Amino acid sequence: MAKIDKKVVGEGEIQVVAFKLRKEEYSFNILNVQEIKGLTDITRVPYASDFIKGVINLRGSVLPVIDLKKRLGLMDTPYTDDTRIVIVKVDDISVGMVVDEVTEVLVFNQSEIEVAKSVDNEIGRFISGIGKRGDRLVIMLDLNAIVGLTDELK
Amino acid sequence: METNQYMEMFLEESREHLQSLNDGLLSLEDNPEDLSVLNEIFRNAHTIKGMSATMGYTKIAELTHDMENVLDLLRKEQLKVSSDIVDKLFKCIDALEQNVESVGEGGPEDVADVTDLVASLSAIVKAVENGTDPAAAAPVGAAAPAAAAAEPAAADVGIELDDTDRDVIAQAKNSGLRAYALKVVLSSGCILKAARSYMVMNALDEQGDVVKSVPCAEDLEQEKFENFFDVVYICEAEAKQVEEIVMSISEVESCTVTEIQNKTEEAPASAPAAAPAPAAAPAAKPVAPDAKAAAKPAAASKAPDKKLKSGQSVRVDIEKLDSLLNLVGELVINKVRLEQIGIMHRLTELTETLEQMDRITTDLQAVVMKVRMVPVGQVFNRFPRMVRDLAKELNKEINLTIEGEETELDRTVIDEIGDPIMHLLRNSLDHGVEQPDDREAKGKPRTGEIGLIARHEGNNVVIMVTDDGKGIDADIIRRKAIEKGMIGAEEAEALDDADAVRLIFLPGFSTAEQITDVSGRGVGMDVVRSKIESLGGHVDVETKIDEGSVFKIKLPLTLAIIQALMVKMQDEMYAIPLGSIDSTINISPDDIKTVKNKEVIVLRGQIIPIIRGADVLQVPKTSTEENEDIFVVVVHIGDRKAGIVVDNLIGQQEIVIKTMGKLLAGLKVISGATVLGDGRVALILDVSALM
Repeated sequence: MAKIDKKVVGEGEIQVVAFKLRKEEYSFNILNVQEIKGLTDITRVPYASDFIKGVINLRGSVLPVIDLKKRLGLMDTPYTDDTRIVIVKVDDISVGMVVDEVTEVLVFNQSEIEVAKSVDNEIGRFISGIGKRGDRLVIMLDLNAIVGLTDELK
Repeated sequence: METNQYMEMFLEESREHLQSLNDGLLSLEDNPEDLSVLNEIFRNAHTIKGMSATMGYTKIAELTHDMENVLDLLRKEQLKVSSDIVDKLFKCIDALEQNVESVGEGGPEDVADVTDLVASLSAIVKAVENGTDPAAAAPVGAAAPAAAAAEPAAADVGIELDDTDRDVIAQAKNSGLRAYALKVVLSSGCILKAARSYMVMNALDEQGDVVKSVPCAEDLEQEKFENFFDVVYICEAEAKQVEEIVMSISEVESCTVTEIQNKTEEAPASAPAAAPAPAAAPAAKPVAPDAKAAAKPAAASKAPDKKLKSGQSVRVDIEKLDSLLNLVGELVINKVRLEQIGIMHRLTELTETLEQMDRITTDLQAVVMKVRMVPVGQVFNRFPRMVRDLAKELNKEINLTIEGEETELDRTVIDEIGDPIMHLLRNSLDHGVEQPDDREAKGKPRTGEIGLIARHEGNNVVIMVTDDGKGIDADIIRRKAIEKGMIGAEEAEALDDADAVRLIFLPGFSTAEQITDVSGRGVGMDVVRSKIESLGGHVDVETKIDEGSVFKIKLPLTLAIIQALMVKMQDEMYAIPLGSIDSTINISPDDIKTVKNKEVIVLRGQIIPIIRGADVLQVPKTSTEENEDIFVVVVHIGDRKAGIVVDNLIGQQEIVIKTMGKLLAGLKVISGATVLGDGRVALILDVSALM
């Protein structure tokens, strides 16, 4: 589990759950994150979109799981002990996201966030901004786009 | 008054009463002489009036009030039931329905303009008042002055006394007690009217004796009254004290206490001026008293059979039932898990306890499922009206027969089947049954028969829409399908008649030569089919030229927990619903033959196409070795059969169907998922999509 930042989130601040995909650091807004759980059995679902890894059992409910690296067009890496499933909720849809490692909970000031306008590559449309802290760059992801609510659903 | 919290209640009850109004009017049309039906209708209208007035919807209340006036005339037989009047009343109900729904959506209460309706209703009432000198009114006139002369002060206490009551009162007077007539008005915001009235009665009982109440105690208990009731009460106390007793109970708006001056046995002083005492003219035809208080119980007593049927029930939010079912589902999953642990560790004691638990969970599950079951009558009851209206519109004579309304289906299914059935009925009416003249020419009775039949068939419920109309001509269907380019000419020829007729279920098919308002717009049968199939059901049609058609919908009893056969394909586990499985067989690779490039097997003389499950499901290969034995699960949808090749049969199991959420909705081949005893998720195969 990531440790919770002691700081109270103030005006113009965004609290995010940061995690790693390959070497880079990404994040979801903490308000969307429901829980983080270890890797469990994922049942493959035939005919689903290729970025959908399958479905898992979360205390009796069946949830789809998205392979985030595949969704963002990143190269695949094997699962490790650090691999986690981050359960997020967007517009009443609960979805699991497979990530390589959950690092921590961060609070960014608005001034530390650069709004993504033209990140010129394949994954540009999934990015809502980039948080900077010293040398560290944390890419903030747009969950709506990732879950596929804003454009092609399948 | 803050009415929002009562909105749901108002809507639900209004809908119920509107439905009963609809039913009542329909049966009134058939039996115009039936007074009990009229009384029931009157009571429904009256309740809607009361409720809407309480909620502050004056327009709705006004319209129902005018309806009531007309109904009252009918009831008093000052007006004959005619199809014109019934039509008008139907229109009123439609307007009421629209307005009530609009209110429910937060809109205005007058979306449907009622001015004309109100005007025509009052015209009817006026015509009667000015025209005939109704004989029935005579006793009212005669009785009123007598009562009024006796005790005008008691005019607003609407209560009738019979001989026994008067005896009791007389005796009480003789022993120095006083008799009062009480009119208790509860505040309009009072929700638990029954409880309040009970408290009033209780408080009164402590100090004296309640001789009678109007409505009777039973009706009070069941809240069958407006916000007031009348009581005849005997005690020592002064009128003032009695009033205090009643007023000490909260939510009582006012209490009028009138002492009953029972000097002479002949003229009951307490009888209201307007209401004649039936005792005074027992031989006379029952005359509905004008006083509203009395009108209500009079109507209520006319419908004791209704009361018996309804029994005791509780209204529960469907969401609560859903979560209850979910919890039971969880329990079943965990029970299965425990069973596996017991087997794995050979714990006999655990296994024994689990057997007990198994029985309990099975019962629990059955009860919960039963709770969610709703009779199909709930959906069927709106069709008689629709068929009547449509038949009028199309100038056809139709007799609708409904059977098996008591057949129960899961709530989730009930909510969905209304539209498909409506569609099939419209279709039968529009395309099936011929015009009366044509029917006569064919030697059939002028009136077409349409049947709506529900019944159990194994673990399914079958709903049939039948008609004795012209049937569906397979050749016309073939021609149309070719014209529309849906199939090739050769293909059409190859189809037998039954299959050709089934083409109507394909998207974009419509045979009506003339597009009518009713049906034949090309959207139709395919929508019906996809709806039914999404419910796990199946629709089929049988037809014979000039004899009629039968549309048969087969639906699973429940959607939530089913029996399934667990199978393995490579390392993946899938569930096949037992309902669609014919048998499982074990064959060798040689038994699979090829016909027209398609793999088939011959089973008991029947050629059955083979589906390689692992290929269709794109299961990644983990083992390359070919099995000596091949397991085939023979499944069927309707009359069609297919064999699904699987790698292993695991066994039969009860599974709880879980949806996979919006993200995975509309997947082919997979109809849902379930959680296995070991916590893994297995997918449920959609057999109809595989075939």
